[in-house]
Amino acid sequence: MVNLIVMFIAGAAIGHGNPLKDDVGRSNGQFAVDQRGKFVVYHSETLPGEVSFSAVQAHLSAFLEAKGNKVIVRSATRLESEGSAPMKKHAGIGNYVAGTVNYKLVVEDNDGELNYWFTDLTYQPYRNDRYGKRIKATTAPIPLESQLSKLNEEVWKKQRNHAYEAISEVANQVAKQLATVDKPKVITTSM
Amino acid sequence: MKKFFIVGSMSLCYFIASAQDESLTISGSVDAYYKYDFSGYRNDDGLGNIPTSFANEQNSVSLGMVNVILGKTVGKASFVGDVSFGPRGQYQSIVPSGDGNSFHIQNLYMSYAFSEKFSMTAGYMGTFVGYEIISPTGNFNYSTSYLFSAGPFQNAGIKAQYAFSDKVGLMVGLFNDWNAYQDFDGVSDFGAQLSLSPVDGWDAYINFLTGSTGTIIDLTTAYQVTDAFKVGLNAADFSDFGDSDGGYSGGALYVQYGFSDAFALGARGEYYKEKETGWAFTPGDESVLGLTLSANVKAGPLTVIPEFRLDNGSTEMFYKSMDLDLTKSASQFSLALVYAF
Repeated sequence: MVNLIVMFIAGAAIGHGNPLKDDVGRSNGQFAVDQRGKFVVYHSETLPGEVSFSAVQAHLSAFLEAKGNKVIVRSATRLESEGSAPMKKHAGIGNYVAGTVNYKLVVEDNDGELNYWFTDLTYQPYRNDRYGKRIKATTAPIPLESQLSKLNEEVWKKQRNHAYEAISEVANQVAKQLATVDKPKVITTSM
Repeated sequence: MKKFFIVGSMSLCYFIASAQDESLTISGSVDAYYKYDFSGYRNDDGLGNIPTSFANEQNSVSLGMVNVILGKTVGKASFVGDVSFGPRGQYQSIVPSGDGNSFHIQNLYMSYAFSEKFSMTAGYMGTFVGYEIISPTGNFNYSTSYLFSAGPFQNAGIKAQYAFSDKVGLMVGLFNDWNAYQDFDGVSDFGAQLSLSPVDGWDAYINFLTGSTGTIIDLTTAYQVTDAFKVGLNAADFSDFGDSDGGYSGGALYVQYGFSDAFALGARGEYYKEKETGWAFTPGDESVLGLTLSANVKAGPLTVIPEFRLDNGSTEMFYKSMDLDLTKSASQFSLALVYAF
């Protein structure tokens, strides 16, 4: 089934340094927005003719599970997986230290065109515990679409950009994996 | 010559390694405060009536500490180096070693995770006992409870942690005496912690520490009831080593409510009693009730903590003024700034 993604062209906005806004005027930074008003990072690629979606599923599932993700849907044309990515940068909100951004990755086969996107994006704050170790704060993950109060508005924008960077890094890893589906696992070189 | 590379396996190993490894992390905080004791009393050290560990200097803009925490995990091995400079991170929380030096260290330890369930840690660590901690970023209230100030601050030693499940874990360890970088009595303390997480958002710790200072049994629990509402409880009993009449006991209840991401209010109510004169804060067999009301105003990484505190003793244990007339109660206002990074 084709998922109807209503999205702004995020790449164009990045290129022009122009922050995007959703249909009610909220800034969504570099994220695209889907028909539910949720932030997404969206990619589309054409599968080489000889590569089947089941091979893509098997390859990506192994990759994602090795990353600690949970694969939640695996059907003939769809793969869904939940995971999180560490945020290397932190804008500084309250007592929190850099945390993770949680995501759901959806990969869909549309007659040889492979669409994949990251959605249900939430920021899981971390804090330092009594041992100086970073642990999850007890607070619930904050949806990236949330609007914070005026005092924290600017910091939250920065934090969302850092979250975008973290998700983009995972997207790049997924793209690299897709490029190696059905490639030989053993190669021979001469020196 | 031909070489064979098993590309798939190599890349899978890389995925696993990168999932566990992290680059060196640097975090920490700086804090400072102003405090005014309404009696106007100030002792020879410049401290007001209420014996909080921090926020104790009377009518003064005073320093907390600069706290820098380094951490890194590679595969199964990790370390934390947590250094602190300033009164809060030196003489107010670390007992100097034999030559009078404080090494500015709050945590210095290495861990090795033998499996997902079992790990061991050795070094100098913040204590596992109690609700409040030394870092201002870990407490809602800025002034500290009697139970915090009377209990251990750090434990140096070696400990083993085993997670039976997501809900139950056990730690046992051998430690130096309380707060000691070096223990001239030898490794003299035994400690254990049973950790429970009955439901999502509720953590409870039953702590036990016995050795050359004495024996302490401590319950620390916190429940994030909703996204905005949190309740915590700390109860402890301590008996002096070799003297069953010495020590203290008490309990503290914490409630906090977040009205928005920028504003939260919290209260701490505490009952504290010492078993005989000479341990720390109150005359023997006397008690004190403390009520602390704090707000947390968060603007990015900066937290402003205005706080009012009223302590009421079972007997006259505070000073009314610089005339040194005794009274049962004392109150103070403080305004603290904490910046986390």
